[in-house]
Amino acid sequence: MAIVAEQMGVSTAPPQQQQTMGSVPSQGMPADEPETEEEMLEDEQEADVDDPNYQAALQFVADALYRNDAAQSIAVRLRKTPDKVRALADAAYEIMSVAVEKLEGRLPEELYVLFAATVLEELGDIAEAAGIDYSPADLAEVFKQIVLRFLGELGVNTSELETAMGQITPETFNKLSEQAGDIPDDR
Amino acid sequence: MSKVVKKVGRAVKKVVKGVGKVIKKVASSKVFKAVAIAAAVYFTGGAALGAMGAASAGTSIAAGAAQGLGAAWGGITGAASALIGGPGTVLGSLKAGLTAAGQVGATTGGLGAAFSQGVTAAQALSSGVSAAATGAAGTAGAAGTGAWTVGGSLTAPTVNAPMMTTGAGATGAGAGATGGGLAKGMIGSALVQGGMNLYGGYATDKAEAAAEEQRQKNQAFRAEILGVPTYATRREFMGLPER
Repeated sequence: MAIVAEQMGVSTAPPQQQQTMGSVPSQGMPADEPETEEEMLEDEQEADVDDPNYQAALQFVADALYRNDAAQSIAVRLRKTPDKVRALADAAYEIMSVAVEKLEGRLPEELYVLFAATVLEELGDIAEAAGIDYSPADLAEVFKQIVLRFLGELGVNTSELETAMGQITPETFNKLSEQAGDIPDDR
Repeated sequence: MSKVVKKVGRAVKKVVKGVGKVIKKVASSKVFKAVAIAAAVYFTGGAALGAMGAASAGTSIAAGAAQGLGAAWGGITGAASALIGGPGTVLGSLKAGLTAAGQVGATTGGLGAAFSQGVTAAQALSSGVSAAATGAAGTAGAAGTGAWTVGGSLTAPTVNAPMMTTGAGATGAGAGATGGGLAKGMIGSALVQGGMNLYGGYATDKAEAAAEEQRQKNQAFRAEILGVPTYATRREFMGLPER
């Protein structure tokens, strides 16, 4: 996926020299430290989709995908790969990582999941346009890989979570998606 | 990333908290919907699925699996109560519009079981949502069911209990052992008084308006970049034949 990174205007340095979305050197499990007053105040101020940094991240992704031709590269790669789930997860993660780094931490963390979902939506559309089909179970697996990779790079031991996530069968996601599909989108 | 994420524990909490924003978004794309479902399952053990219209979703998720997720998240986040104890948190953000529909017992094993303590009859909610929740008063940690009707279109969601397991009385495998899991704070605090209507916060006009606005913005920047914001354009952009 280095090509995607290049199209996004970032270096493709060796992994040890790169910062990734969740990488924190020498940090173990999340510290259960009491929050400062400033942090608590910050927590109360919820970021929303109008957050300028979130908008900037979306714009950055759109630029990368469509102005710098990353969409085409990704589509080609997805068509060729034997592991389309892994490839989509890698592409999405790389795009998100680069965007987060570009914003130098200004993207509110509480928007990470929404950002991930939005990037995946975009890539899913690109894949679909390229004739590559992803089932809800596939997309759930992609999302799972992204979450685990993010936490892993933060230094979190994800083995228990991975096991627990693995207990949900793929078929569950397909069924759930069917059920959700019965509800009008414009509720 | 050290300059991007300053405190890991806090960052993880905030990331998890942000799941509510995904669940509340009005999804028009099947891809987004699938991802949102995955987020609801992996982060809330399926408890938030009712808010998305996957009405009987909870039944599809084994109680043990959801319990394991609760325990795992509890272990990762440490101060789990911060995750969903307050406004804007994963499930806390979905509770708006609640009226008291039952007592969520602090000593019972899960949300579903908790419903059984006080929720035996339908009760009209201020938002126009009628609720009728019943729960199977089972062993701690056992899945309970909650059924409520939302505007006639969302019916009979089943909520799996384990993610809601309390620290005090929970004996469900895993969750009890780690002293709580995601919902510790939620069960123990505000929601104790309210019961829960996952749809309430979701269906607010504000959320829908924000989602629509976001959709239009996304469409707008696609239009700016692509020229034409249509699905066919992507195919055209990639040199693919029209279907």
